[in-house]
Amino acid sequence: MQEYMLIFRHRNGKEVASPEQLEAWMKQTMDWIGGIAAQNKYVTGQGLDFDDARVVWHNNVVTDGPFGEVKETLGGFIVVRAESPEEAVEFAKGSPVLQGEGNSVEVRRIIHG
Amino acid sequence: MQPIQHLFRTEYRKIISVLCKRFGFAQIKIAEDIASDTFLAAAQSWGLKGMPANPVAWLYHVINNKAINYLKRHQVFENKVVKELSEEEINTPELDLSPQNIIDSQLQMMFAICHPSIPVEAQVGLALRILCGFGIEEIADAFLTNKETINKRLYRAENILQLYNRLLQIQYSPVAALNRTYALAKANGKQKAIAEAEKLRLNDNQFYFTLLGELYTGIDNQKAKIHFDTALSLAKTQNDKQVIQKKIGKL
Repeated sequence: MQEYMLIFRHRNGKEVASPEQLEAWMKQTMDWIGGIAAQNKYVTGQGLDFDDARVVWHNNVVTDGPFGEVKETLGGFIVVRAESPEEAVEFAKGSPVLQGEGNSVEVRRIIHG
Repeated sequence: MQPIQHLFRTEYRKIISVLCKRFGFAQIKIAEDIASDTFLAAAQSWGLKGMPANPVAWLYHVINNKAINYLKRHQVFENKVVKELSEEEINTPELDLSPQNIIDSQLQMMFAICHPSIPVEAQVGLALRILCGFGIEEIADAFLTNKETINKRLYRAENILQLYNRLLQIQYSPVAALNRTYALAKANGKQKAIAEAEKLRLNDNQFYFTLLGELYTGIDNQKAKIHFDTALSLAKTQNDKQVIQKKIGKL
């Protein structure tokens, strides 16, 4: 069994959706994660706040978020246990994040030192 | 007190009791839905046309029609109720709303509510709600905004579902996983719950197969039977075996 990080890339929800829509997404996300946890395959996860986001560059140049393109914006991640990359991908496919066009979930195996 | 509220207090318990005597106590939710529906129809119709000369007869007539429609229409009739009704009763589907049967039904309801297997707090709640028509304001409001009642019920199911979604993230246990899947069925429907249940693979757990059997009941009774049979083969206590046998018998 390996651990995989599922990385969500999407826009700042607060900018593109109503509070009701956000709440609906949150519920869907909880149901999705609950389904993984019910299989004893959930390890951990966090949402990341878009407000006050900063990016620190080479030479300590600091810029503000939010960011220009969706591919640059991280909304959160979860870590799951899976037998194979394919199983981790199957988990990722259920993510409500993917309802948004242009959004993605990146699947990366965690290297345990 | 408004006439319809008064009627609710006196007639609701009778209607529920008669429906439960007819459908079986396990169908109490359906009985409540049909009864609420009838009072909703009364509130709408009487609000427009005025109160009929004999409101009780009106209510009984409507409840009878709704009960017949329900029996004709609903799958539960095929799957659960039909086997418990005698041939004669199937051929004469009219509800027996005679004073004698109403009294008998209410007595039966009293005994059902006071059954020792129901916790005392729940007994009191059920008695106040069903036998006494208690909380008349809320209930009167509820049947005027029937949708809200359904929403509240759903909201409760969703709250329980969350409780479990969060609990499982903190501490996994097979029992919590099974309860979570059951709550999912209540909140989001059986089909969704089946898809998730089949991923759990708790293949040495009798309650896992009992849950699968429950979820498939009414959707695919053959599969339900297979799962209940597996549960039976895993069950250890006589009591568990009896419970599962009973579920198989009802398919």
